[in-house]
Formats: sequence, structure tokens, C-alpha cells
Amino acid sequence: MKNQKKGITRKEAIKKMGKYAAITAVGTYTILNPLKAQVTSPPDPGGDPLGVGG
Amino acid sequence: MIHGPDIVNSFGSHFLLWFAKTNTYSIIDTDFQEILNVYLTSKSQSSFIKSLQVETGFSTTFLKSQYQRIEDYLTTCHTLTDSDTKSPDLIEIEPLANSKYYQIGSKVLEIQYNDQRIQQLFHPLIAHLHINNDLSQPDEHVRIKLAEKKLIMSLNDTLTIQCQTSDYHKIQGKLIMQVINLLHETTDQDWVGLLHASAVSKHKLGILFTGSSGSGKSTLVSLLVSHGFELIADDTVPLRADDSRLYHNPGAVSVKASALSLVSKYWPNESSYTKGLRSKSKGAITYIPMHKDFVKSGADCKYLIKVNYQPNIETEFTEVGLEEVIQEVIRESWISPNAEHAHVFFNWLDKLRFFNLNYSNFKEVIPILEQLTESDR
Repeated sequence: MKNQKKGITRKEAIKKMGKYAAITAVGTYTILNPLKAQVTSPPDPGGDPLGVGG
Repeated sequence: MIHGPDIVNSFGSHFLLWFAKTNTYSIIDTDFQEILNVYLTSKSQSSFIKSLQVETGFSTTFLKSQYQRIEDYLTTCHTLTDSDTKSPDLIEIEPLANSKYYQIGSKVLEIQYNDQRIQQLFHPLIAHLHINNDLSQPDEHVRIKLAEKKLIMSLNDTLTIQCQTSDYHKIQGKLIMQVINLLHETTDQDWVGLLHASAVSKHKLGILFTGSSGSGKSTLVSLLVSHGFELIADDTVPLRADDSRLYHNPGAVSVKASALSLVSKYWPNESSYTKGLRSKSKGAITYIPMHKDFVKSGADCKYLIKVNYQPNIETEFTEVGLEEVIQEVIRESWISPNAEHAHVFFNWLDKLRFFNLNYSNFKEVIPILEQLTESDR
């Protein structure tokens, strides 16, 4: 990290930092919640198969 | 400091995490995992900043924002959502007018519907199991009723679910789970999950297909089964806890209007077809029973393949990482919140290979899958 004190560019610093260079990209995550109950394939969104408005 | 996940496992360039309290899964990349690890091994915000600053020389402001990001992430993973509802009260639905009997393995299931329209929502999926039975007592009975614009289902006089009519797939799901339980003489607690996928087997090896609605899972499965593959399940695939195997779902395969002319070439016995409801996006659904035999011991699943059908594209079959294919499976499946089951699920995933399949001509897919299963025999 001595190079940083010499005023190199951010890009150069990242290149020299090895594994922690990734932190500038901050990493990505996805959160996944399974369903709470068993279901079959969902029908059309908002569809009302019985026409009862339920 | 907020505590971390209850299970962590690496899958190539990504990690899969599980949080017990909320039954939440998370996929993170190695960059995120590095910083999460520093957080989880730090005693305070200042020690987190200090340890990263020594390594990287990043500004305190930047590292504070990273600290906050990790805290927000963990808070979300540990927070229950609105749909974490309480169990329904026990009530009884009175006997209903329309009664049908179904032979499920060695058991008889009676389903009572309060009118023909309700029957039409659920019967086609298991119409091929229908029997005439006026003599023996059924082993179990289900009642499905429309009351005050809501669908209600009871199992052996216990209310199991109540939903809007537009959510009838929730009752279908409960019903098919019960059918699976009757066939395999199990209860819900015996299953790690009911996976939203379709599955076949070849050389006793299971292949699980995932993909969004319209991706061609059911069509591909129909065509594979007419070309020497065995059907395990269409649409919902049960994964058993005690042996991590995929088991049969005896429901019929649902074929969309757009695929029916192709599928019917290979399944010409139209007397076995049952028409389901018409849907705007899928047209009239036809249910075709395709099981040759129910293998009681289930199948060992080796492959999880994300299917993408598009007309006039080249067939492409590529091995990919878990992160490319698992998201839809987790989001659209019931997966048991039991910690032991979560461990089984991780161990099961650990043994799978993951693929993307783009295709338009299923005949090009058959040799690919035959070769794949042959090589692992």
C-alpha cells in the first residue's frame, strides 16, 4: 500500500491491491425467499378463473 | 454486530448462504464474501474499518458505507416478511355435492367439490387416476369449496388453506402435495422441498429442468418421455429428505395450446387427454398422463438444467455455475424451513452439475442428454 502514498491513480492502486481490489466493486448479492407453501405453476397474474372477482 | 448465516457453502465463484430464522437463501460473489467475512470476524465498526484500512488503505468514509451495506444486507436476511402468516384455524367444511374418487398407489382419495367449475380447476391434473368407487371408505378426503369469493380446502376435516380464486394454484399445490404423500406414504415433513421444475430420468439418473413460465420445460419433458426417458414429475418435483432423491409426482403433464400439435404427434392417444381451464397467456391447457410406472425408490438427480426454448435458435448446452440456474428454483419452490432439511438441500446441490440449454429443435437435445447420462453411468 506504500504506492498509494506516492499518489498513484485509483486504478493503479486497485491493480496493486490484489484480493482486496474486489472491494471497490463492493461485490454482489441476491436474496432469495422460497415459497411458504406448496404451489403449482401460477396462473395468469390477476386472472380470475371463476369470474367471481375473488 | 449482526450475526451471520447459519449455513455457507461455496459453489465455484459464488457462495450460497442460508438464514434459519427466515428460511432465506442468498447467493453472493467472492468479493462480497470477503468483506462479509471481515464484518463477521470484527468486534465493532471501528475494528472492521481498521482491519480493512490496514490492508487496503481505503478511506474511512468508504469503509463506513461498506459496513452499513453489510448491516443492511444481514438485517434484510434476518427479517421476516409479511407473508410469514400464522397457521389457519381448524374448521370443518360440510360435505359437498360433487364427489370424485382417485386411486393413488394403494390408497383411495375422495375429493368433494362444491360445483363443476371448482372441479374443473383441479380434476384435470389427476383425472387419469379417477376411479368409480361406491363401496369402500376412502383413505383420505379433501373438500374444496368456493365461499364468499374465496376458495377453501380442507383435508380430513381440517382447513389447510384459504385463498383468492386467482390464487387457485396454491390449492392445486396443497392438493398435489397430498397426492404425493398418499402415493409415497409420507407426510410434508418427509420432504426437503416441492421444486418448481420438471424432471425425467435416464439410466436411473435424474435430470431436473428449470426455467421461467413459457421456457418449454413441460414440452421438452413430454418429448423426452416419448423418446426413451422416464417421467419423474412435471411442474412440481418432490425432493425427499432421507435419501436426497427425486420422487414421482403422479399428476399429468400440462401442455400449452401452442405446443399441443407437436406433443400430440408423440402422444397420439387423445382419449387420455383432459382439458383444463383456458388461460390468457397459455391458452387451453391439456393434461396428458405420461407416467409409465411409478418407481417407488425415486431417482438420484445429477443435473439441473435451465431450459430456454426459442424458435429458430441454435442448440447450445453449456455447463455453468450454480448462480446461473438456482435463483428461479429457490424463489418459485416450497423449501422446508427445517434446518436439517436445509443441510440436505445444500448437500444435494453440492453434488449437482448445472447447465444452460437453449434450444428450438428437441431432436438435437436428445443425444446431448443421452450422452451426458451415459458418461455418468
